[in-house]
Amino acid sequence: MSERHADTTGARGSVLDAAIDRAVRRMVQLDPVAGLPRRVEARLTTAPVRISASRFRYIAAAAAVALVFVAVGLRREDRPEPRTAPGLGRLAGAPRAMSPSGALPQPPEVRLPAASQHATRRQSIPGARRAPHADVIPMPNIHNVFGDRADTVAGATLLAREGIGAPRVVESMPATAPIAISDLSVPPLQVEPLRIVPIPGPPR
Amino acid sequence: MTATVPLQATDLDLVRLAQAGDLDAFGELVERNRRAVFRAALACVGSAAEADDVAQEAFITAFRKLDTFRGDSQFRTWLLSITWRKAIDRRKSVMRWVRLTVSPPRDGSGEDAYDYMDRIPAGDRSQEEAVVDDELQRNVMRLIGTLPKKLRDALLLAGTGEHTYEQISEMLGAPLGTVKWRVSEARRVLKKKLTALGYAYE
Repeated sequence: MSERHADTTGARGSVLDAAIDRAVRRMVQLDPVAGLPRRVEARLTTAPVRISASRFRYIAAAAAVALVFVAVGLRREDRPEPRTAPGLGRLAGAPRAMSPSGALPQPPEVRLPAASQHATRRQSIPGARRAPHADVIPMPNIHNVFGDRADTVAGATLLAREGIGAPRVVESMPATAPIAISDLSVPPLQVEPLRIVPIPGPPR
Repeated sequence: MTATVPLQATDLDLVRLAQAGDLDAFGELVERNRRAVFRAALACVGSAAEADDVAQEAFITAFRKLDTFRGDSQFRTWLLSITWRKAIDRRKSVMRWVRLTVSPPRDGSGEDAYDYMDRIPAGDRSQEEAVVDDELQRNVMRLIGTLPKKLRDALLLAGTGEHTYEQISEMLGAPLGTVKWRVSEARRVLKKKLTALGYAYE
């Protein structure tokens, strides 16, 4: 056996050294409760699964990292992104104006209001990680939203630039009887003269 | 548990038997080292109940890792290193902090606890001297609790009477000279604080 801690409580030791030694002994020179080997044996035969402190720290760190990823993912989903609506010219029945080069002019982007953005966000985010719906919602085909005036309204698809020729708008409305508009008659305004009525004061 | 184990067997013999699955041999190892393990844990966690828990965990871990013990060092040194790591884990654990907050220890190991026997005045000293001495003891214990952990651990481990400086050095992972310096420094700091409180140095 090698060197042991020397007790300084001898006659040469100071009063404070002796006090320190006594205090240390009272703090640590205790004996374990009887039956420690028996308790150890019992735990060896039926040892419960316990999470050690170090493993608990790893689990807590992993949970924190997972929480950060979830929070970042939620923030990316909530970020507003500009949405583009299909141009009116792509509707069936609407005529398309041709550019001078022969290519189809692209319609200007239309920004939807906030409410409609919110309603259509999850369906139109390009990088959305949601799985697409398996159900296909059937929609009725729209052939001509203008009724009988097909191919006659093209102003909505024209760009406001010079040099772009717009197809001539042909009026094809059926002849109807002229509407008679009668003149409005407004009676002259008559203002009565103001009269000042004295307010009776309190009796003196 | 120790019926079939020869009394003159060394720790290494018992380890070999325990490695072969002899629970009685391991029980004898527990019996031989229980005090050293318990006091090392007590020096770290400061509570007898928690030290008992730590001692049990240390023995169980040692049994499960017994195959990794190659006999390069003494079994007690190896066991004490496991005990110290378990005790440090316990001291740092969140659940321990919660337990101490909810229900402070009542096992007499806190800094306010002291032996009733020590309060009985000895025959060769007056009642006044006994009261003063008791107050000094409590102040010393309180001041030990305020020491930096490195100094406090070395001082308390050296005061257990169960561990050599070499074993303390292995447990703390510090050179032998550093351990001795920490013990000396802890005593110096304590005496300085006690002097500041008005106690005579000599």
